[in-house]
Amino acid sequence: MTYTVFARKYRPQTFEEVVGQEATVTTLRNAIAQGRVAHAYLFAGPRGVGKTSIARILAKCLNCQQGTTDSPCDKCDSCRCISEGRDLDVIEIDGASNRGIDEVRTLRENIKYLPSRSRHKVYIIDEAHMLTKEAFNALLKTLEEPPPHVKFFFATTAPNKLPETILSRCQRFDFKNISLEDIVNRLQQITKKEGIKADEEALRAIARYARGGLRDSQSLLDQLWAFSEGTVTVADVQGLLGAVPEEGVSALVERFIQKDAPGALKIVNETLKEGKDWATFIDQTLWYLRDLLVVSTCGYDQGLLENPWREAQLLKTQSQALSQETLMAMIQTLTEVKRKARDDFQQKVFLEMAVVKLAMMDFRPLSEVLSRLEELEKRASAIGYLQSAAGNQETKGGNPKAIRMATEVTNSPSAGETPAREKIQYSLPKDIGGVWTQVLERLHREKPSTWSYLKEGRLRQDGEQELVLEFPNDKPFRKKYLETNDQERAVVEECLAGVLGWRPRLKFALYERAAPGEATPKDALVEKKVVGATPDKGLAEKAVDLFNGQIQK
Amino acid sequence: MSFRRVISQTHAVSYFQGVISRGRLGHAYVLYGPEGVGKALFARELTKALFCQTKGEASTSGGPPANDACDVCNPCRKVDSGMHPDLHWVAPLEGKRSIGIEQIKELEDRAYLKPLEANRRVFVLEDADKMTEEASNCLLKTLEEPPPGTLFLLTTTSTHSLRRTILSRCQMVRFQSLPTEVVRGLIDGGRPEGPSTADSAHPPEVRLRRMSGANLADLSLQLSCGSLGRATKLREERVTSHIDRFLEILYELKSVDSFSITQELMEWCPDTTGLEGRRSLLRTWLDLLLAYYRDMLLYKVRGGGPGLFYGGFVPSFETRTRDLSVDTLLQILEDIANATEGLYSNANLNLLLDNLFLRLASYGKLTGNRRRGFC
Repeated sequence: MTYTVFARKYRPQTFEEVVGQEATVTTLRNAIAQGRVAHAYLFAGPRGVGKTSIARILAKCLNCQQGTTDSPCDKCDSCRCISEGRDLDVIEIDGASNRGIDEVRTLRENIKYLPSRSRHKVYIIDEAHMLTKEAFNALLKTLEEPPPHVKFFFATTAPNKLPETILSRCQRFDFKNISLEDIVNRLQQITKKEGIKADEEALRAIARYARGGLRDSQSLLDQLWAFSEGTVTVADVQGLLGAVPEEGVSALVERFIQKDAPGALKIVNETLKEGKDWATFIDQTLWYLRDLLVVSTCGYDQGLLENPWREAQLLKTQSQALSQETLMAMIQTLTEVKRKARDDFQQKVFLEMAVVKLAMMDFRPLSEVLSRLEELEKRASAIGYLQSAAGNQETKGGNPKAIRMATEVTNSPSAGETPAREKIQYSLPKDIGGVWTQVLERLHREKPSTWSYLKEGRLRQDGEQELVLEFPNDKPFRKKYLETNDQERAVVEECLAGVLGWRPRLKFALYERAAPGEATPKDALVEKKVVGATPDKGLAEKAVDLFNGQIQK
Repeated sequence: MSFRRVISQTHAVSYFQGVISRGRLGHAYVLYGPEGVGKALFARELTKALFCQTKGEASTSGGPPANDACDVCNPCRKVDSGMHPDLHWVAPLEGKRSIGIEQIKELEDRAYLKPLEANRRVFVLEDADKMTEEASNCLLKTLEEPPPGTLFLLTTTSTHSLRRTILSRCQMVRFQSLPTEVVRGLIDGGRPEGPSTADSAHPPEVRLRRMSGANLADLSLQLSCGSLGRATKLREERVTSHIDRFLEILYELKSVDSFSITQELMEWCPDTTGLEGRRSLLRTWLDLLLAYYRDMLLYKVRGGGPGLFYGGFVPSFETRTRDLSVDTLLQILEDIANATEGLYSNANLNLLLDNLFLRLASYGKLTGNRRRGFC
């Protein structure tokens, strides 16, 4: 009449059958072989990885009628009774149901009696984390120094809830989650024994949804097999869990990458309409994003992925399309949906909101933002310089165009003497005043007559390739002279080309001098610099004389 | 027959029928799915199918299909009237919010006794997520290895609300939300509600501000998301009588004084219903509000189309969403969601609504200013 589920039917009965806990098994077998079995063990770890099973196997090892062994016969009366949980000397206690001090007191009273037929009296206390504080404390003395025939095995999923005083009296074994391959292998063994036909892909899917719990995977397989007619397929697994095919998830993420909110909404709505489980859907998307994050952080490494069978190329391209910041923000937003939604209506609306948000999400890496910020800072200071140095009069009326131009100018490398000709054809250094000073210096050396015409002039930028040479309005003839005299003009342009690296088109204009005959601050600056070229040199020479040294370049 | 009573859960029904006929019925199942789609009902019907005396003969004589209850034999009627000694129904005790450890201990005591009349004992844990931590831990060992012939059925809305240690010991059966037509059929007894003639007599701008009978029916069905329980709640007199005024408020949100909206809403949710009732009614109104702005968001993002709650109001969305950016709409939705959350965290209801409507009004104004500023 009764049917035994796989999880119970295939509970490991010997150490050989235990999957994925090699370290624990080896240690325990050696302890048995060397006769060093401790009197108290603690088995801790997540659900469905074999804690209770190992506790029972160990009990069998100790009490097998064939003698203490690391491979119990599993045939004698003791072994069978232990397997069925009805042995007189192996007392399995449900710690969550018998958690009070009274139960522990009863245990202590019985502990002193010798085992009825076996060598040891074994107490397996399962779900030990649920014992009350008083119960634990009542156990302490007995646990530290029990009678020689008594062994204690604790099994728990939450070792952090056990008091330190208990932990320090036990040998502790931490059980690991079981790896995907181990689960798949075990499932294959079961399918072979039971004569179940199942796709390998289906078994992989089961193993993934089990998240490291072997019992979870066995329950799932059991359920699928109980229902399926022929072969167990991936579609069966997804149908049972209300999960979306992996392609659906990657398609959704692709919509996010393309910033296609309507498309993403469509996918979500179709998914929900098909009666898929929304929470599973969010989980799947979260795991997918997590895998993308892993790929973008550590590169493609199968061992680290939640689903190692995903299409590698797609993962790589998608992980490059999204910055890590974006991925993390996406994961956060989706997690919040799961946490906040109270019922189906909220689930639907919150999920849609999240999808719209995710499809608009594009966070730049922090380093990129910082460098852009620095760039902006530079530009801002360049504007400040332009406004103060290029003369207040010029931009007094507010010439936003000039400022904008100036900011663009800063894109070029700093105002070096020889800007890279090939790279930047038509860019002006930010320091136009500096350029002009250089030009004047050059002219002063090469053609002083032209210099004298230009020394009160100034340079202004107009458009991308044009420069305007301005003259004081009280000296209009100088402008006229250069305008009409092609030769002089060529000299100036040549000079400019020498400094800038490219030949600008030159225009001429007048500017208003604050008071005729009186130099504007800007003029004074230029004048001083140009004239100062010589005294500066003199200063250097004086210094050389003074210190009796020489100039080294 | 009785699995027939379970509507639109063909997956679950055929699953269990298949499992029973193959003799592969496990000992612990989690039945999960949205509220009010028939999980508890299903648990009862499944028990009947297992206890029924005639099921064997029926399948051969061409009567009801195999592995279903006959509804007339003694055990079937006993289950229906809740008197069967081998069916144990565990739910939070009266006046309590959770299933306590005492209840589970009692359950365990019974599980180890032989069944009295049937060949097995069935334990139904309704809303198993309401078990306290102690209770669910207490259940673990029995749930994993119960005495032969025990069947546990745990119902819950989401597997995520159960402990993994519990889930790992059970097989999971998913229940889907009901299709809209089914809910409609259940509420109205299948009677279609066409648009009334009075509606089409109104000029369009009035029609867009009024809820016709058909529109309202649709809205409540859509909002219920396939849960019969929610659909009925939305059709209560207390909601339907104010819905037109509600829409009007939505239209004039910017010009109406926010505090007066709060006042009005609070009047719709009278004190007489008690604090819990008041909250639940307010929740309904906030849901309606959330749905409205959600529709605008969808309209803004992808234009009209199927899947909108307020399908009949699409023509008005164009003008309504003009001033609102997607970001603003998302922000508004977030505000409403936060206000809804506030209902459950014991916030002062008046302040909660004041805050919400002031914010909503400010969004409209802000965007208005910005537009003027730039044009």
